[in-house]
Amino acid sequence: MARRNIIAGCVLLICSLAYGFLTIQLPDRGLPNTPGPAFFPWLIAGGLTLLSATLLVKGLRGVHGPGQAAPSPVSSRGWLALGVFAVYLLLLPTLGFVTASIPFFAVLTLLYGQQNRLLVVLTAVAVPVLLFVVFRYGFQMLLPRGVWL
Amino acid sequence: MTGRVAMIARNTVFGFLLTLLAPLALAQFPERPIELVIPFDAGGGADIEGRLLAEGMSRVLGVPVVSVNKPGAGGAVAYTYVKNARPDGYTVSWNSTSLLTMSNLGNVDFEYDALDHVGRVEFQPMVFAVPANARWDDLASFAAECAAAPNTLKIANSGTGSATHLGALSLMSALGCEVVHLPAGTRRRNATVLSGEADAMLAPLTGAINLVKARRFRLLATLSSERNAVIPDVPTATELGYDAVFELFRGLSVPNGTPEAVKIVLADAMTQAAGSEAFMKLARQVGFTVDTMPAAAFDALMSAEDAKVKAIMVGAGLMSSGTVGR
Amino acid sequence: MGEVLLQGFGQAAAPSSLLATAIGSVLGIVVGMIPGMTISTGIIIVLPLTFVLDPSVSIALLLGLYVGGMLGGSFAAIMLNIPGTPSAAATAIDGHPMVARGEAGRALGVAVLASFIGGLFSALCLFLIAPRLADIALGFRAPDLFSLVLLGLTVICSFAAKSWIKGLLSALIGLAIVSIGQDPVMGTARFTFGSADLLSGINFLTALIGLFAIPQLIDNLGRAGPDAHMSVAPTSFGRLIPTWADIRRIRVPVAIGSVVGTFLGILPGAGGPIAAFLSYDYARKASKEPETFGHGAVEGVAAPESANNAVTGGALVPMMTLGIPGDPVTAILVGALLIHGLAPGPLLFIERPDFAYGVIFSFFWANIFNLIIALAGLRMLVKLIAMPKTILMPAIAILCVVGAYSLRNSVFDIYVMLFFGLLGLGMRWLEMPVVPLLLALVLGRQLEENLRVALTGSQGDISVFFTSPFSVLFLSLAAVSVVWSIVSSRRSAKGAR
Repeated sequence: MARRNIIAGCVLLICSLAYGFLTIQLPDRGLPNTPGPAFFPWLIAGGLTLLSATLLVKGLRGVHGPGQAAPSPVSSRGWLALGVFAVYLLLLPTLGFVTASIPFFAVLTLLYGQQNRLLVVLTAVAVPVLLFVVFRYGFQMLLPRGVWL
Repeated sequence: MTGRVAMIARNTVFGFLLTLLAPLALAQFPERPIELVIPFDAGGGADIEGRLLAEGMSRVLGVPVVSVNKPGAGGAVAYTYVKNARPDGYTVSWNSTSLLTMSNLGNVDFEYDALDHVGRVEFQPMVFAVPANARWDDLASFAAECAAAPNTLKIANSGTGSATHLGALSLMSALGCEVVHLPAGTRRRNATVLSGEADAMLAPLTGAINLVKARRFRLLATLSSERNAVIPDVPTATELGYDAVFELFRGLSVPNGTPEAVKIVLADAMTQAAGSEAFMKLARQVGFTVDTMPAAAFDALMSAEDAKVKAIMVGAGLMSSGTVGR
Repeated sequence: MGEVLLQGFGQAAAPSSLLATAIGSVLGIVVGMIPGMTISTGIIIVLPLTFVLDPSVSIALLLGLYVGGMLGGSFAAIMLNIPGTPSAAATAIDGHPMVARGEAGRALGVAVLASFIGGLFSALCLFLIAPRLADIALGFRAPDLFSLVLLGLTVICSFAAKSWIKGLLSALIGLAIVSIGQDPVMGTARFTFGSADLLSGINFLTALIGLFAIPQLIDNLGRAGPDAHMSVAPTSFGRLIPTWADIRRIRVPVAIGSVVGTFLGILPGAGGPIAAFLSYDYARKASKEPETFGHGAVEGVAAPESANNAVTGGALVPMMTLGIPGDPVTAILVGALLIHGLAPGPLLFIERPDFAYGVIFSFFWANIFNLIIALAGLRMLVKLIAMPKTILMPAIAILCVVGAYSLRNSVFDIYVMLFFGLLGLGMRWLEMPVVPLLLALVLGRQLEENLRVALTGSQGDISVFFTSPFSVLFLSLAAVSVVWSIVSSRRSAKGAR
């Protein structure tokens, strides 16, 4: 755990300082004698910097020492799924909801270990189409349509 | 309420069938669904009024007019979205006085004329409200107390630079008052007055009417040019001898460069929908006044209102330091 | 008053509301029951629905889901020894040994009955306390509200985290994120880098979908494959309706659970797991034969079960009267109300008393439906434990996208959702709790707004926070909760070494 605390402490410290730096650049406006838009961010920046530094110091001193760290929350298959998800989201605006969702659904179903190929194809087509139709006509909400739909 | 579920089911089936038939329709504006962008959250006044108008317009135009909420940033999100949309008449914005306040406050880098305006639909008054048990019977006694003790009375508004703040600034300058303006926010504005933290508030009539009916608030004046039918007993500030008029308008806007012919079709549908019985009924309920205005007149009104907003903001020191804060 | 109650009752008893409650309850039991899905997952599934349904109907749906989810979690705990939700962990201690003894029906029946009574008791407390608390809360001014929100956040941090630093850091990260977009007082753009999408800020519902659903989807992938352990559910479990003898035995434990659960529910952030374990412990101490606990004592099922359902009604008290949610579910309820322009808080009881009481009555109904559905459909519902995840999980992934998009009709929000998914995974890696972050997202704007309004009203004088008695009370409680969590994390760190 100590190693993770050190890494997280560093990352958070950098983020806090960046946040503080952006806060300096906020315009000072508003009515006289009243806290402006930068007032609250200043408090947050201070608190974040202080606490992430504390986390870092504690990590370096090994305070949360020999305690066993939990295994990494993402398995290799998990990374693969996240990658597929990211690609899906990148293609979504261009391809539209239905077109992009069908292959994504199929790939994900396979990743979760579905063996029956027919079931994979059927659900991959049915679920996105059904959702699109219900939202479009039932709820009058347009899901991303992409370039052709 | 069951009706709503049934309607959803019906729309699902028929709407889907209609799309299959769509290619048979005429190639003339409008030939596909129109998006009406509502700059505020679902369920609020702007949303309820906008959705009802959209329904009326889709009946006139024969294509669905789909209401889409793009709330946030005092309307800036929605107006920016519509400004950047394709100018073909299929993206329309439900606008309001917020268009003038958010642009002049410098929260976006464009002015109200970055959009083309189709026309005004309605306007509604802002009201000056005090708690029901307040010690003032009328505006004059409030003015007297506040003249005697400047900078002690507190007036709540929906946010610094919002229409209610501007209304309060113009009313107070007419009264010759110096007060503390509390930017309590839309959600807390009413509660701030009820708890006694603020002594009075400026609010759109639609935002205060429930609590007036529940006898928690009294209205000392409206900032409209004439009395409102929903609150006929409440005098206007002008009537009482204080020159402060600030009305909130709502209307339609489209992206710059939308063809004239398209705008005419939209304006016509807007006028008919605004005149429908359903829309009129809502107006009587919540207290706005349906008064459609064509594009040219609306442009003139906006330019006058914009000048007024600018003048109030400069007077309050809201526009002096850094106009754009991005 | 009577008229308002009648209107509220009518709203909750409208056919569409009742139907929504029933659907919510079934869905809640199912998602609660399936290991790897929580009440939050169920909520993400129905979230897009709540945008289009009437507020009273969507609230009825969500309340059904909330109450059903608590019970469903316990079914899995009893049948499989896998708590479906964290709150159900205590139920497994005695529930599963009963199943092993062949008394599955008895354990489930007692769990259903205890949940019902706990839920009903908390509903009664909600009905009696909420309007009065709302009356008091009406007098709160900006300094009081600032201190109250601060108290809510610190309490959540101290309950949620093993390490007080990580709890507070989580909340502060949430506050930093909430400061993106326009400031709540005058709309100055902050940290938006000129992006129009960031101008309106990060919506906490989008964040919630990412924070809760994505780690869960990834988690389930880790243990995917044929759901081997699912087939162990027994097919017959005997008599379901508890016997008189059992009912007499569980009187005291249920009373303990109901009171402890309701009380802890009212405290923001304490929530189900703590209430369940505490009341289990109290019930054991109160029992004449404490040695049977842990080996399949009905009292050991009844106490935590009544407690975790009593938490739901308790949690609605601060949500309805102060607008301060204590857990992800009540946070969603706040969000669902706000979408419809109804701000939960003391004014709701004045401006829309019909609606406020409608919510309370819907909660009563949710408990009643839960009892009926659980008893009538239990045999069928338990089979759903083995539902194929291979299709369920991809469907949830797509629903996450739909939910994130349809909130504001924005593709940008889908990426925001993914960002929060990665953040959620990172926080898991660091063992940092996500609930403080989520609630900071919900409460952050209120915190800043009240701070600034208070200082505007006092013209910059910070003594306003120390002169109002309410504010002083809340601030000192907040200080106590921070000190308490520092001390207890020190102690547990020492214990570990």
